[in-house]
Amino acid sequence: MLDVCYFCEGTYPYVPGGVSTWIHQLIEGMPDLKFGLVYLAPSAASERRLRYKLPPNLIDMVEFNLYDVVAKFPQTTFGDKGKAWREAGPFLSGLINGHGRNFQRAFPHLVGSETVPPALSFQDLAFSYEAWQILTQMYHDFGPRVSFTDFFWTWRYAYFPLFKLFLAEIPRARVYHAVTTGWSGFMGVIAALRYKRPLILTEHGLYVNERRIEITQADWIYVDKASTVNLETGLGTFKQIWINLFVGLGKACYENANFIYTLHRENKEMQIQFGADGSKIKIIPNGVDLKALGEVKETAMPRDDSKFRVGFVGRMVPIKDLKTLIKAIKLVEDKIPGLEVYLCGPTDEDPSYYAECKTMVEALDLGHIMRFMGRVDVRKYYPIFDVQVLTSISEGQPLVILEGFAARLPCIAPDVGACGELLLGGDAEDVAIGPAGVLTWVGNPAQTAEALVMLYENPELRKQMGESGRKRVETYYRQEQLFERYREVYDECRKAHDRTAVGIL
Amino acid sequence: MAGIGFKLRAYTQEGTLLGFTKAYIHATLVASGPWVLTVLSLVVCQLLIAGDSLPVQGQLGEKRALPHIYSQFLMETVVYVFAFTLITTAPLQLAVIRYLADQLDALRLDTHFPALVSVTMVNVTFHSIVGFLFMYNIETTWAYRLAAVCLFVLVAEVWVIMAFIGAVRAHHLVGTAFVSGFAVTIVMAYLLRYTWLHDTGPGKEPVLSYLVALILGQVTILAITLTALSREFEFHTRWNFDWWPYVKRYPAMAASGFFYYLALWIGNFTYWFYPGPGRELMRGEYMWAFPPIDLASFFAQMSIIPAVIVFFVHTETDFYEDYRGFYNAVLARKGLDVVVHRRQKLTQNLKDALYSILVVQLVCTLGAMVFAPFLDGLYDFDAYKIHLFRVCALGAAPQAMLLFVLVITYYFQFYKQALIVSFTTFVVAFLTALWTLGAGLEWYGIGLFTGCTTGLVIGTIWLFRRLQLLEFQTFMSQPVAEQVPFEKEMLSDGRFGVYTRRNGQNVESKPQRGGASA
Repeated sequence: MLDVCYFCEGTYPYVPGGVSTWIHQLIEGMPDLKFGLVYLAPSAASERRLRYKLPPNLIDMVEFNLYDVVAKFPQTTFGDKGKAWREAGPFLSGLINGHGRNFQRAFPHLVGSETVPPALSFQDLAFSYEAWQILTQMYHDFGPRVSFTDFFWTWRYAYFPLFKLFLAEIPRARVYHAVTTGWSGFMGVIAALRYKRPLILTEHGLYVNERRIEITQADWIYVDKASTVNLETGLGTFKQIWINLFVGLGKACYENANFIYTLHRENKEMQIQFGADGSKIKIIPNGVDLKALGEVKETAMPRDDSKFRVGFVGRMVPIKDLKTLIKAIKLVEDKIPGLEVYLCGPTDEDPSYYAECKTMVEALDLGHIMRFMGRVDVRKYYPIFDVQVLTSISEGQPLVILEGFAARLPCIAPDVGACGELLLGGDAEDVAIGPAGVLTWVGNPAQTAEALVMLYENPELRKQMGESGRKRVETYYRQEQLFERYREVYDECRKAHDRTAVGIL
Repeated sequence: MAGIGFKLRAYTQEGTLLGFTKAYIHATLVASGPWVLTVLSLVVCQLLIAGDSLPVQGQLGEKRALPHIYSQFLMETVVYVFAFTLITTAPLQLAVIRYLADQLDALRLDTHFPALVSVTMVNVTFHSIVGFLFMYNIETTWAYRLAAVCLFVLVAEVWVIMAFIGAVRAHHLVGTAFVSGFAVTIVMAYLLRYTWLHDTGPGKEPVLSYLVALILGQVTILAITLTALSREFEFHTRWNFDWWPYVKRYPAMAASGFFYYLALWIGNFTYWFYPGPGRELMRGEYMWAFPPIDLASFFAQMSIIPAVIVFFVHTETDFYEDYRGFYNAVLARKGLDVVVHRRQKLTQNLKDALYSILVVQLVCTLGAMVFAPFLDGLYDFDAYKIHLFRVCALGAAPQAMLLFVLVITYYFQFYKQALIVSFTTFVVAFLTALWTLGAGLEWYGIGLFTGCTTGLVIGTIWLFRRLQLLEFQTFMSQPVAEQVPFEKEMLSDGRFGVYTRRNGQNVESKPQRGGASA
């Protein structure tokens, strides 16, 4: 049997990024444990190319296509359907209102156990008259003027993946570890209840928050004018339903996780806001391999003191808000002679956004300053940069900042996620180490520009900040610390005879 | 950050809600055209035959009236042609109607003409072979055999063309075509008596000229409709057999058409092939007939025409409006209350309409029964035939109502239900016919009434019960966009997922995904 099974939604091992690297790190860092993972993809059609060399102790990997609807397949069911509807109904209808409660009661009828199939089949859940009754009842909660057609299709697109999820193949493991809430977190709940094993949840960024941003910006969701008590301002019923759904899935995950971890304090507070029990939450920050990062022999190019090199490390996607960076560079173009900006990171995740950024760089005539490097070995770049800049709308605890610190690289970052904590320090002891960079407002090119000029003009300050960063990483963010903490919780869970024996449930 | 979030395609309202709207109804209307035409033509032929005579053998210059057996043979030839073409083309007609409606819905106009060509080809080939095999052993002249096969093929083709006309709503063509066809038949029936076709010599078929006149009438109809249709359709030379899968995709729909028409004729078939009293062998060894009931049932069909027209007008206007209103409420992002209200309105109006059509039908049926004795002067009706005519007219009333209910049922795509109803109708009609064999001649023909009444009652109750759930039906049965075959993702124990790594080894289930990097 596996020791630990991860649930990866659009991350490891196919999409590079902070979470993926973190998972890879953990698997490689505990070679004596057997790992498995379930990868959730939107559909079988989505392109998949391995971005990491799979470690030998990654034993099983299952891929699950979430939005590919598979209907009309034979499914055996068992038991009293009337009772099943009564007990599963409240969970199903609650979800769309942002409630994740009652899942434990609904669980036997929707998922079944290893030996007993559930009473409600996919067909029952998706096409039966009882499902229709629940659907119309949910609809009436949203008010009579809401477009029923849109409501119906929203229901289908929101619930069909869920119905499929109930039947997901999940390898047997002693511990289940979800790295986000949302679909994959919910899959973790299903696994934990099905096999009666402990569930650990680690959230880097907050899934619900990120989905909220995405949904708010989505143009494919119909925005109506209806206003009822259920609505937040301006989003319309259907965006609200989607947000509610993810809030609901998140709550189910929080409720059923034995342990909840996050990277930093701010996240913890938001998790509590989204329904997590605060006493369950512990903080385990990211960790970096100081040894590997400290001893880079070969750099991408020789250092050149006549240049001022700015590094951006991250995926070229909207959440990183590259456009703010481009605007900021435009503002300082004339103030910093020898300015060079290296944009390092994969460009293929959101090609249209990447294209927009490129066009913007050309339109602003910054082509000679800003270079898109694509995927590169960033360890060879940190030593040649003078400063690292981030302009993200949302962040967890960016690994790139820690990696930069390990290479004594100061950082300019917006005040999101754990950036403040990283740059200025968390508790008093940490603050005493000194600032390792400059904090800006979100989406504010002028502030980013100002910070760039300041750091350009103060080489001494840069050096001092670089040292503070290095010291902070050495004290709080070593990879070994990360391994120790997770090793501890894995061991505790592995030894537990049942999921109820550990953590807080 | 993590999460696949929303890589969904913007959702589209899949499937056709307003498709094939008027198609079934138009088909119903235009389908009653050939009936009327043929019955009227037969009446005229009969009047002309009454004036015909045969030379008396051995007595030069002496003539006697044409024996009854000849006109009966003509009559039964036509009955056979109608009975069998209706049954054989019904599934094809329904499939074609549905196919063309979907094509119209998808704004594909280029597929019509190739479909017309291929349907005609299949239809003509099939009916030529069947017709020929049937006629081969019928004792008659080769000219008559060929003419009979011709009529068989032509009538089958007329039914299919009617389906095309109905589907593309070109029913304005029908009036001209039928009036012209009727005129040609009458004129030719009169004129051809003076040609070699009207040979009263020994071993000849003296009614051949009338058969040819009927053929020319059908040819006229086909010529007019086909010319108009090919002018209306975009001309394309490629093959199009895309309509064929519709027979397979909607087997219940096709089968329901088949059983409806089989139920209509099963009484006649029973009396033909059961060795009881009253049946007559027309020609050969198997062309049996029961002339009284064949004649009566053929004529009794005339009594449903007013109801068909009322039904047509109603569905064209009120029902169609309600139907559209309902689906528009669905598409126009209305609330569920509005949708429910529209459905209630639709249901109530439909009930009212069916009730008034029933009244019209009952008046016609009553009229037909009262005025039945007048047929005596028209087409050689004796007392027994008049009795049978009344029985058949009685059966035609629920038969017409059943047809309407079925058409509405097709409208809402309740195909399985339509099949069960028409199959039940067939079974009851058949069992009743078998019962009448023992019950006596005066009960013959009552199977149409019992069968169709049963079908009508079940079909109506069922239809309105289903309509109570129309919103549920409409939404929940919407096709799911881009379904993946479940076998692709399902493991043997019924769980979903694909193992790409097992026991530390990569499973090369999908080699196109590329190897490891980074």
